[in-house]
Amino acid sequence: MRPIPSSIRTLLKNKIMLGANGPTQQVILLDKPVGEGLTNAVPAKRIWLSREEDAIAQRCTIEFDNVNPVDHKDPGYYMPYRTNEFTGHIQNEWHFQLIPSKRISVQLGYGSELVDVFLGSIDDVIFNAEPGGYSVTLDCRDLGSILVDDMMIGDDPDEPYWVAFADMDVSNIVKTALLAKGWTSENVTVDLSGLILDIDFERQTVADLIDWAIDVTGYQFYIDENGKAFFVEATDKNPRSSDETFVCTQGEEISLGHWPIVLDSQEVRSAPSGGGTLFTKDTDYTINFSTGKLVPIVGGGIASSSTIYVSYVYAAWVFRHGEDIFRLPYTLSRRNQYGKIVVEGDGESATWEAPSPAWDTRTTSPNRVMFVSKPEATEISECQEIADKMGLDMLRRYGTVEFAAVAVPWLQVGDCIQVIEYSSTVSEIYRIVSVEFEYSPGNAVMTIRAYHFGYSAI
Amino acid sequence: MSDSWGGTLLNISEYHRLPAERFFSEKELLPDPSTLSTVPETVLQGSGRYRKRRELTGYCTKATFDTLETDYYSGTAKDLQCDDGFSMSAIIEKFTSASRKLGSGEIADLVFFTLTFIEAGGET
Repeated sequence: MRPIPSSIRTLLKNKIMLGANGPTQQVILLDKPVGEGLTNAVPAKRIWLSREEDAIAQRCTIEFDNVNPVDHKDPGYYMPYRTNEFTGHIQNEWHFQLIPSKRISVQLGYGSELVDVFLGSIDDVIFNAEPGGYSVTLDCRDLGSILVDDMMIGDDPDEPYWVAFADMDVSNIVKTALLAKGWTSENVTVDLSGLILDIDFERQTVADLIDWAIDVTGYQFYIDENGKAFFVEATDKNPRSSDETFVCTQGEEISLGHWPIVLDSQEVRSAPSGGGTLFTKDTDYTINFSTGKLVPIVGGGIASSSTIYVSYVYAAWVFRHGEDIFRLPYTLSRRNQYGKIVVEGDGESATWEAPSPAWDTRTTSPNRVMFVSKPEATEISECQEIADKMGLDMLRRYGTVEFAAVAVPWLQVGDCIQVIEYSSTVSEIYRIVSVEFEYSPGNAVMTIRAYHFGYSAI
Repeated sequence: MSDSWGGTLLNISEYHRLPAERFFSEKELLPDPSTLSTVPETVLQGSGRYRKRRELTGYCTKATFDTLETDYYSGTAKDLQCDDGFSMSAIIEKFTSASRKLGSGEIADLVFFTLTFIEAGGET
């Protein structure tokens, strides 16, 4: 989760984003020379951007007029093959610039507050000529396209498409593959998996390798809006505030840094990093999840003048009827709900069973079974842990929202948000699985798909 | 100060100077039932503007009108000066009317017109 400027929070909730506070966008062609009288800014008229949890490469489409900005009688201004030899045309600074493979960065925001939302390269350039006008459409993918498109290349010139990794942690295999594709060490973050393997790949892309690595570790992979790559333990607890530190007095209110807080996601401890005593809600302290206020109870276990460390999951943004939601389909679906999940490990197996009837009286057939092969799991407890996690994840995806709202480009896939809408009685915390932005000077809308994550007081 | 187009005097009797439209949208929100009648349930968005326009009604000689017509077809940008001090580099966007009167002598050489100029570049 990226910090959202307080001025943006105020602006968007005031419902007027006009003039100097209107939607703004910046598209830069990174490889283009700049200097006196030259610009690398693409005069984008409309931008569509999509980010999805399961996609290794994300997409962005940019549209603008193909006309000299200071001479309306000069169409084709951005054509890369424009030369002086074609009567009436003069070669200009855009010669050989808008070409597939050139790098593009995009920022979106309001007024002068902009945030990075895309770093990638051009896949397709469409120069469209119609009687009514001339336009350019750039279809781009982010740096994940390198991983999807390019084969891995090994050291043996006789077998260039054969790559072997000997006795390496799976996470380091991913990191090595990324470094070979041009990422620098500081732009790759991995959590070690503890799984040491010998493996080789033939005629495979890095995306194939990453899919395999996700499968054997359960980790998640993503490339952020600045092009940094992450292969890390999968967590759905974003944003999370860890170890907020307070010296407290019994009976006196403490204001936590963020709210609303996901119901019962808090940990209040006497030491940082999960150490010390874990204090108990309503015995040692009270907490208001909607306002982020915590009060040590008089006579409870948190002594006055002692230091407490508070960690919790909160909503990065609260979308609310009457403030920023344009439409909201709320879906309850059993399509991806199974009665059992059977995880088969190396000689062991474990089963998770769905509650049926569930809390809302829905039933799921116990004979609807998902079988999952996890040969890396050697203990029955590991199989059970994987099955329980998959079961919880499946249950959460029973209720989903896909809603259109005022664009908040600071939000990212994986962030938790709160959604409050009167007719559907939706008021819970949801986790973003995909986000699409549609941006133009008179229009800044985002469409979010999110699944139920947890509850929060309103 | 008088009205002119690229230095050529125009005889203007009516002058419309509506401001340029802004990029602007009003989008409906899902309503908050507790504030239905007290606050607007929409969002306003927009930054930037369309081009400025000036609609002029007047008359000129046939020769001057021929020049205007040539400029119109070629999309030529010239300085438009208005008698309220406004000026911009403009092109002729459209002729709403252009008519000659029956008669003899001076009036027979006049063309009465209404035309719209649109901003070509920045204000001059």
